[in-house]
Amino acid sequence: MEEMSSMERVTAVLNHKIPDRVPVIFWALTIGAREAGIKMFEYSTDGKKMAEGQLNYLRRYGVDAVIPGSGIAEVAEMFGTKTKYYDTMYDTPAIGETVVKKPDDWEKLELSITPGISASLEATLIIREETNNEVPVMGTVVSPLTLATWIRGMAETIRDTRKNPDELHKGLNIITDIERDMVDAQISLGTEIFFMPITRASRDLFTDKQYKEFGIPYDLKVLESLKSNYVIGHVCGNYPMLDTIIERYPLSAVNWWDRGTKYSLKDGRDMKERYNSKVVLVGGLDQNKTLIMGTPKDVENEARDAIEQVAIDGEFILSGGCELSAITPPENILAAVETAKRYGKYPIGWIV
Amino acid sequence: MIKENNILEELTRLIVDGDDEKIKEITKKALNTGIDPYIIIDALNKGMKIVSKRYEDRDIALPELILAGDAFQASMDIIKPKIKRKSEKKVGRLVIGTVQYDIHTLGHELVKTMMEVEGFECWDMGGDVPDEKFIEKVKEVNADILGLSALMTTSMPKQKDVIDALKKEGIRDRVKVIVGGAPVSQEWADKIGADGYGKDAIEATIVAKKLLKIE
Repeated sequence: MEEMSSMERVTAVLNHKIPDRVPVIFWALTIGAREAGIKMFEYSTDGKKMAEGQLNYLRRYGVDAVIPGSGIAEVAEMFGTKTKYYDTMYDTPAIGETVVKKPDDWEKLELSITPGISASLEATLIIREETNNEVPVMGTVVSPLTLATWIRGMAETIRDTRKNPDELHKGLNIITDIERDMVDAQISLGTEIFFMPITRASRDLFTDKQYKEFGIPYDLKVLESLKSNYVIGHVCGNYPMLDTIIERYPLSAVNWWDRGTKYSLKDGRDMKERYNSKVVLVGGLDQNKTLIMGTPKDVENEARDAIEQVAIDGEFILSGGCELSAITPPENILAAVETAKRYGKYPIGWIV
Repeated sequence: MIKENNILEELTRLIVDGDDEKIKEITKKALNTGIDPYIIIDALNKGMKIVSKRYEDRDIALPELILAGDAFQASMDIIKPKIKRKSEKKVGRLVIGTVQYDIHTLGHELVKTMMEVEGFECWDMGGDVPDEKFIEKVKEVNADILGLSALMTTSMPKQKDVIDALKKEGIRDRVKVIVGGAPVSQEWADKIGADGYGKDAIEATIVAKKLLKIE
């Protein structure tokens, strides 16, 4: 029996207090289908089955939070995209057909309630009740520019930044307003902690100037509606705009691929000092090289290394650098949690 | 000669500016003036190389690279019918696409554009491509290089499935396989038995040329 519940542990860290041990949270969506033993379409559209998959994932591995949902395609579907499901347990739903086919379509975007989003909300309520509110059941809110690239397609959205900026801005404004409404709906259901994919805040895709025009204002507007909540932001790509995010975004925590990109956990810690930020760092495990391809011992070594590097004073959550793949071996997920229990107990200073 | 040089310089600039409208007009003007299509292509390549270098140095980002690629394609669409097939100087045959369960095609499209610039003949399979479709196309066009892109952790294993399918078909040694995509690494490429890995379009092109021993 541990000293704190997962809810106490995670909220302690997000409130900059020292928990009993380092929490472990993965962005684990599609793995729920595997854990429920069902195919992705059923998982994504049936709230009871989604809850079952996430509860099995929670109980089997002892992780500290769950995130109901099946990915960004599910959120994009609310704006009218058609989702493509694969006949497997493992593959993330994709966009089958975009909704913004020409620049003029940006201003026609509107919200519709879909089976996917209904399932996620139903699963949220079921899991919360089943876990007695002792485990964070996180909500999802997507950066408007990230969502725009799913609604229109990446290349076309990128072209619009140069060729049709006014139309794109109209679309981003609509997306932002709708996302704020969705945030309110999730808060009214009791969601306190949100996961926010900000995957296009990457210098692989945009210059700082471009992201300043098309990304930051809308991200900040969404975050404004979340100011009383906790938000874990996730940035992606080989060259994430981590410095910008840490300096300018009012996030509780930030996650990025610290083992595979330009910025290590230590770089993240240095940025916190530079910008006088108290943002919690989330990561430490390579979701591909270590979690999928490595052994439990590799996972343990990498998790211990991360804990030694940045967890000593708190403000750290052990995680992968991106979504936990549904092909991740169960023993590797267990090794991550076991390492946090064994080597992540506070005070941590005795580790050699 | 001065007029010709001015036109060629303008074509290079239009690539750098990513102007896929104006470049059509200037390409036609260049051809009507009697400039050799290959000299025009050299001017386009010069622009792409400038853009690639700026992208590599992070002076510009993807929007400029994509628009430069659009401008390049727009010009090439006009030039292609003027080139006699027998005189095309192709350095290799590339089949490229994004693996099954993944619809993120932007990465492989950039690689394709860069490879075309370097003189490869390319067959773009699009996204969400089943393993057997890659095999069929490799056989059909007798490809030298197969490019497999995966932009998601969840779709990476399909790269290995395609390589295994090549082995099963007994044609693995006939084609070099390069892999890429955001979650992909050299370690992954080694583990699944790929011949090469490129972290971006530029590196993928360098690796492909090296594998085929192209100077």
